[in-house]
This record gives sequence, structure tokens and C-alpha cells, in this order.
Amino acid sequence: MMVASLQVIVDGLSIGSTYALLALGLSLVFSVMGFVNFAYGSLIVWAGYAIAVTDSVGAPYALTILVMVVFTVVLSIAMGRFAFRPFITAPPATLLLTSFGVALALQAVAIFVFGEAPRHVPTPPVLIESVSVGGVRISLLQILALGLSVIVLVALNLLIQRTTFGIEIRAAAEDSKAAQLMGVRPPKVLLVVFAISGVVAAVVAFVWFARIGTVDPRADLTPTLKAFIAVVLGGLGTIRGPVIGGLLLGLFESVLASFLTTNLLAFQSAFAFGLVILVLILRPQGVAGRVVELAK
Amino acid sequence: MGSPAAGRTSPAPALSALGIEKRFAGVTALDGVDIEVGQGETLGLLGPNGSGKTTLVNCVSGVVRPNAGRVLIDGIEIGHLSRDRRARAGLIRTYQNLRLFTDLTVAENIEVGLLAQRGRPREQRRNLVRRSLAEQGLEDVARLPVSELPYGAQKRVEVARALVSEPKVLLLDEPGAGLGSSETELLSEALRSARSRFSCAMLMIDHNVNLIMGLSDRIVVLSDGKVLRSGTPAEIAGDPEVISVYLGQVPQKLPR
Ligand SMILES: Nc1ncnc2c1ncn2[C@@H]1O[C@H](COP(=O)(O)OP(=O)(O)OP(=O)(O)O)[C@@H](O)[C@H]1O
Ligand SMILES: [Mg+2]
Repeated sequence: MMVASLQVIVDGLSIGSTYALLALGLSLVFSVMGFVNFAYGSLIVWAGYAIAVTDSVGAPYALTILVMVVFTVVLSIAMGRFAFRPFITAPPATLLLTSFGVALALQAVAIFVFGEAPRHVPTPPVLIESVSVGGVRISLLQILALGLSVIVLVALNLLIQRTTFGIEIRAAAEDSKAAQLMGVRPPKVLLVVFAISGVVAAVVAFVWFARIGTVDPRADLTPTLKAFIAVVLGGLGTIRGPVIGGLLLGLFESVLASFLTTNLLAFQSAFAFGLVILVLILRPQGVAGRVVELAK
Repeated sequence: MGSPAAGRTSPAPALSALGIEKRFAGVTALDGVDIEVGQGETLGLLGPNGSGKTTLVNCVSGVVRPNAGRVLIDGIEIGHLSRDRRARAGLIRTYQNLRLFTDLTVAENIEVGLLAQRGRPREQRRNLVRRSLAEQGLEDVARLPVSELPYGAQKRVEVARALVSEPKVLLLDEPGAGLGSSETELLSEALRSARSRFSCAMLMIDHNVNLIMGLSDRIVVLSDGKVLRSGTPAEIAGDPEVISVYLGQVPQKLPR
């Protein structure tokens, strides 16, 4: 029993840490621009294709990951530059709709280029082989997922809290018009934020596809939804919120997976949404969030 | 008119706003206002509530676009520039209603004031922030979220944030509003010492006539979106029309 519950916690934390990163990438853009970027999952999907395509021309795994990271960051910056920057002064609802448009467009291009069928994304076996530590099965990938999440979190926290750049981002996030009067360039801040959220997406994509092993054009929905749920659970407006939300969601899923019978497991997402509704009713600002006011 | 002609003897004014007109749906807030602030000069701007003082600052800082008129810094047209480019050109303003970043600490808020100038080394930025905190007596609260400070201290943070970059042109919209007399004295002192440390043209709005009279080299009085009078503090203080238009309404505009 002891071991079983430890296993649930290890599994939950490792998947939860990936959700936490996903949620962080989403909430970063939200806190600066005031909209939920529904095209965020498309970044993950295209990152998957970047690995698959680089692999199909015979590149070693490490190179496929390197190419994927560069590609994802560039794609994220391009998204910010061409899809969102032109609407930088528009109300958040416009940006929200734009993000739906971008998600649909990126999906359509993926279907056109790669077809509907899933593509294989390689994973070195050493990453996913589980070893038993005192009866708890754990893979190198799970450890990497946790480790990478911690590194990204610490780095991001330092960047936001300790650097001039972080001050610029936070000032622009709170009151971009006043920040402008102090010389802050919101368009530049936007691009930097998209670049950072691209790096986070690339880290997530690495872990995500190593675990799943395939990519298809409609695979953006799951990461976007997970990020969205985690953000709602944890709350917006802080770094802490999405992280706690992501970990909670991971643990919740892991607990469900250990208790539910196979035919009930199909409804795992329904349970997750049930939890979201519950949180929204009981604590609309999330478990660890603050009340966020949208700047006009 | 004010083109920086070659061979001109006196330098162009630090700030000129010429023929500024601003209309809001039915209200003419500014009706052809001309003001000039010389290099290193402090210009006081007086006028009853709604006379267009804040709107003038908004037009100059780029917060609103005037319907007509030109804005120049050192004789160079800036009317087409965005707010952030004006800030980087050395034009900094404060707000009548505090507009601090409540998520940031006191020190961070002041550091935002340095964002207009890229390329200052980190060490220098730190020293500037430190000096600015000391000047305003804010060292002890430097690490606190600015929202936890009392109003008067927040007002000092706003002034510190505006002064820290040593701007070329400073627009102060009622920096003394809501301050007690000792706090007003501190403010006056801070502005004076800033002025003596770096040459800075100031356009200062306040309803506290003593504060304005004490600091200004020259005073402009606005009324109904037009310049009613312009002159030295002594001339303005003795002008019967100013007294009737502006000072005559004293009961409504005593500092809150
Ligand atoms: N954004 C706006 N929209 C509509 N009308 C405005 C706007 N800003 C100012 N006005 C109007 O323009 C006129 C001038 O206002 P302004 O704020 O410039 O006055 P002020 O001299 O700063 O007054 P106070 O001493 O009360 O601060 C007022 O009639 C005001 O109602
Ligand atoms: Mg005003």
C-alpha cells in the first residue's frame, strides 16, 4: 500500500510537472497580453513534427531535439510577430479569436503537409525503461521531466524577479500604457514573452513526445486543454498558480488512474473538468491565484 | 515659426507646445494653447478644475493626440512619436492620480524609471536607484510592495521614478496633491535639488499656489482651454483677473 501510493505520487508529480510547464507557458502570455493563447498546443504539435522530420532524414536523436528547440522558439516568435503584434492594442477578445484562427491555420497546414495519420516520433529506449527503486517504478524520462521543470521554473523565476527584463515584463503586464510612458516598448516585450513561452513549449514537447511517441495534426487539443485546466485550477497572475495547478492536475489524474476501472478511465477528462467546475464555483481565482484585473 | 534656424543665438526651448487644440465630444479642452519651457526653466501651470491642464500634459506626453498643434523638444518635432519614443527622448511625466505598478516593489518601481535609458551598466543603475531611494527617504521600504505604502509615500515613489532617469523635460501633474505641509516641503526640496543636480526643464501643475510660486521661474494660467496670463510669480500673484478667475474659486480647490 505504501509503495502503491508512493508510485501514484511519483507518476503524478512527473506528469504534473509537465502540465505545470505547459500552464506556465500559457499564463506567461496571458499575464502580459490578457488573453488565453489557444494556439499554444499547436506549438507543441509542430515541435513534434520537427523531431519526426529531422529523424526521418537520419539525424541522431540529440540533433532532432536541438532542431526542434530552435524551430519551436522561432515559430513562437513568428506567431507573436505576425499573428498577435498587429493587434497589440486590440481588446483581449480580439486576441483570443486570433489565437483560435492561428490554431486552426497551423492545424490545416499540418494536415496538408503531413496528412491525418499519426507520425512516429522517436524516443531512445533508455529514456523510457523503468527501473525499480524500492518497489517504485521510475523512468529516466520521469526524472528528466521533473528535473527540467525545476530548472525552467527556477530560471524563469530569476528572469522575472531579478532582471531588468523581468521588471519590464511585469510593468508592461500590469499597466502597459504607463510603462510606455517610461520608455517600455510593448511590441518588444511581446516578442520576448513569446520567445520565452516558445522555450517552455520546446521543453514540454521534448518530454511530451518522448512519452507518447507519435504526433498527429489534431494533437494540439490535449496539451492546450491540460494547460488550460491547470491554469484554472491554480489560478492566474502568479508563477506559483500554474505550477500548483499543473501538479494538482497530474496528481489527480494519477490517483484516478490507480482507482478507476478501465471502462471508467475513459472518462478521466470528464472528471478533470468536474474538478475545474468545482474549483470555479468554490474559488474562482484558483487555488493559488490572485484576482486578475484585465487592463483595457 | 519655431524652426531651429542656423546662426540663431539663443538655444531652442527645451519644450514647446504650439497651437495645441484638443476637443472631446462636444468639449473643447484646449483651444489653441502655446507654451514654451526654456532650458532648465521651471514653468508653473495654474488654472481652475477642467481648464485643460492635464489634457495639455497628455498631449505633450503622447497620451492623447491633439486635434491641432505641434510639440517640440529642443526645437525638434516629436508630435508624431509614440509615447515610449518620447520617453526615450527624455520626456517624462507623472500622473495626477498615482499610476504606480502595484505588483512591483518600491525599488522596482523606481527602476522602471530607468528603462527609458538603455545601456546603463547594472552597477550604475543600482546606484541611481539607491540614491533616489535615499533622497526620498524610502530606503526602509525599498523592498515592500508599493501598494503597502501610505499615500504620501506612494506620491514620493512616483516623483522618484520620474526623476531617477534625470530627464530633459519633466511634466509634473499635481505632485503635491493630497500631501501634508511637511510632505509638500520635502517634495519642494527634492525638486529643487534635482534641478540643481541636472539641468531639467519642468512643467509643473498644482493647485497649491505656494508650491508653484516657490518653485517656478514663470507661470502660465489656463482658463477654459486658453492661456489667460503668463508672467513671473509676482506678476501672476497680483493680477486681478487671475485672482477672480482662479483664486476666486478657492473653496472648491483647496488641496484635498
Ligand atoms: N478623455 C477625456 N474624454 C472626455 N473629456 C475629457 C477627457 N479628458 C479631459 N476631458 C475634459 O476636458 C476638460 C479639461 O480637463 P482636464 O483634465 O485637462 O482639466 P484639468 O485642468 O487638469 O483639471 P483638474 O484641475 O481637475 O485636474 C474637462 O472638461 C474634462 O471633462
Ligand atoms: Mg488635471
